[in-house]
Amino acid sequence: MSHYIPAQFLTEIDFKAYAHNLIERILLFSDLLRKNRVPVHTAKELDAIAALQYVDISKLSEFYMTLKATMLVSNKHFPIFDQLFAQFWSGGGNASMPGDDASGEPVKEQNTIEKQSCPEESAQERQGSVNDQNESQESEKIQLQSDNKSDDKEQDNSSEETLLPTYSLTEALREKDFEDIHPSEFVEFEELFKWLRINDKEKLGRRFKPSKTGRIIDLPKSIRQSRQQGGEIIKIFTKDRKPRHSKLVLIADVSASMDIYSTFLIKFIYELQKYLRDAETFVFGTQLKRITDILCHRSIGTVLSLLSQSVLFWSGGTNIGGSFRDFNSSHGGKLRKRNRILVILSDGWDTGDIETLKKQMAIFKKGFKKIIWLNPNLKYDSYQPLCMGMAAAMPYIDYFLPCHNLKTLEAFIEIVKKI
Amino acid sequence: MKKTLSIEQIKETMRKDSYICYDQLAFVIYLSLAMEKPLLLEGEPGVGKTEVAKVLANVLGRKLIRLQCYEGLDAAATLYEWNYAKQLLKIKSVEVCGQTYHLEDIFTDEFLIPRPLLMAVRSQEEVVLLIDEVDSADAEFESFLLEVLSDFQVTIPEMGTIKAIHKPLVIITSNRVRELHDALKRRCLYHFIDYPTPEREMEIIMAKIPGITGQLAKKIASIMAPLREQDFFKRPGVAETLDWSQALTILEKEDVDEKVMDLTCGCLFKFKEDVKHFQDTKTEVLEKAKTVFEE
Repeated sequence: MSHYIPAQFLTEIDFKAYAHNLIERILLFSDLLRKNRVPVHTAKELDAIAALQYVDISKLSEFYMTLKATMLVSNKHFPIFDQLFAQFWSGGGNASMPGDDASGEPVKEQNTIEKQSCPEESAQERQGSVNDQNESQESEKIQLQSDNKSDDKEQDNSSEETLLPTYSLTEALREKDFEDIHPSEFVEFEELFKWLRINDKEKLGRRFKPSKTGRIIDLPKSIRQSRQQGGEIIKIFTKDRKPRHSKLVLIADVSASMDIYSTFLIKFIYELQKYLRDAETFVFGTQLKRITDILCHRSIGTVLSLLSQSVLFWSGGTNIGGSFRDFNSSHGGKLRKRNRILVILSDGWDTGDIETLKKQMAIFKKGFKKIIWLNPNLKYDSYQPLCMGMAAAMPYIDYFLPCHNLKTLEAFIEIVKKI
Repeated sequence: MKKTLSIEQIKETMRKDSYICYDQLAFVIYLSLAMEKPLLLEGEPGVGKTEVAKVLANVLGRKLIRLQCYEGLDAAATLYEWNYAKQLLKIKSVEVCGQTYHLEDIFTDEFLIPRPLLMAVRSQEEVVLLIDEVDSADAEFESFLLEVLSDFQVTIPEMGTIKAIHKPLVIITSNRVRELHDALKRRCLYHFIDYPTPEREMEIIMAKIPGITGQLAKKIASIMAPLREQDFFKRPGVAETLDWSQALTILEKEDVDEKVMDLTCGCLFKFKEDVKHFQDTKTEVLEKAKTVFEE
């Protein structure tokens, strides 16, 4: 690998000031990128320098594209790269950057550069808006000397402020109570929701299925197939244990007392149902309604608007016992199976008949494998299941869990995985 | 230094093959050729990532070897397999004749079934190796790919290491279904293909659809830009644009209005929700389309 830079170009370039230490400047630049959370590996620096011998570095546009193609590994870093590039190499100001479709507008000269501190998965187009909204929390500013003759050391010092790690931002959001979540954080939040997954493949059942990568030899099949070749085993067939799917039946309370949480929980259920096979979802207030089909739509917006049209008892009263009775009489026969887990989302405030509730819970207990009750009020340390509905249902519940933030939902998923 | 095509030449020849290649793309292709490094192309589905490899193979006069990735793809399906049946036949026939055989006799080229990666490495001529949708393969396969991509060599225990005579031009495409591993990205040059600008999209339509009028192509291109700003589950790519243009040409339409859009929306959208959203917003989109080329 040669670090040779053709001398004839250096006399012509616009950014002559760097000519004598171009390589050093490139290394400094990649250092600056790294400080702004753009991952630039050493191998990529070498690539960038090696690539210079193939391009006409007297053209700023070619120089720019070389660094961009060799140093970056994701398009989400494009905006910050463009900004930093303009800042760092601003000596060649009269040369313009290629305004092709991928690059966007050339970045204007600025003295400050905002640090992008969005989580890794955040889409490029969101970065701007998120930053604006939560400027105080999320972004810090670093001062950069735009003067190209400035001392390199000084530049180093100025950009060496500590950063708010991305992780803690996500972490904070995960622990935030649903009722405190600001509308500006919704986008971020939905992104996090998508990562909540019950991984099917983790749980293996007792049955087998043929698999090319399986570790268990399927002897009967191998022998059966070998009969075609006169008993000579040519191909060894393998099998693997079939993953066991968690089958969930979800019943969510959408009465007035659950108002703050129900939208979030519906979103959560929506994400769950997207990839879980045979999940069934119901909502209840004063009556019961099956919403499995509505949740099948592809956009959460459509789902929510359809729900508001079809579920008329949203934010109304609660009749837990009555709703459960409806469930047992109309859907129960089909859904009450020993391989299904019943998940009830409710705070237990009930205006209905307690005896009915007890009776229905007893039927649930007999019919389902496990019963999980998610109650947002469990976030209070002193919470006791004293309200009549909750107290009546308690003896039949296998797991009683909180559900007021993402972290608790993750805990719930962990439990489902284990059952 | 190896002699390669210049950036202008790449653009020019690809254009002749009806691929409208913009400056930045031509530049990374040039770098990839010059540095003999794999090129990782990312972008939304249907923006022409795979097409780049196909056209390049054509332009450079090289053979295209394509490896389509899918979940569960393993080394055997990509590198080589021994032809067991043939080996057994050989053993049988030797035994019948009463001769003895050595193990080395049946582990030769004759009994080897080369798969795409081995083919690319062993090829006597220069080739273009397209590894398509690498993100749909498992992470294990990705790590396996590392050895091949960094050294361009393949080790077969029975035969030894085979090193590439000519380094193939490797084009890797990814739809971003999942993030690729850093180690793989590090070995590649990276380029993100975005949706084309209206001007370039018009050129693409003109180049790909014979017999289309310039006016219609312009209209279609101007509609696509505001359409992609809408919030669809799956935004239409260039492939959809071309389907649509083709449909409109067959229907012999001169202009696009709401009625025509309704009739042909199946070309652009493949989801029920998207079709509905499209019908709700088409008037707004048509309105915006008028100003696209004026800006």
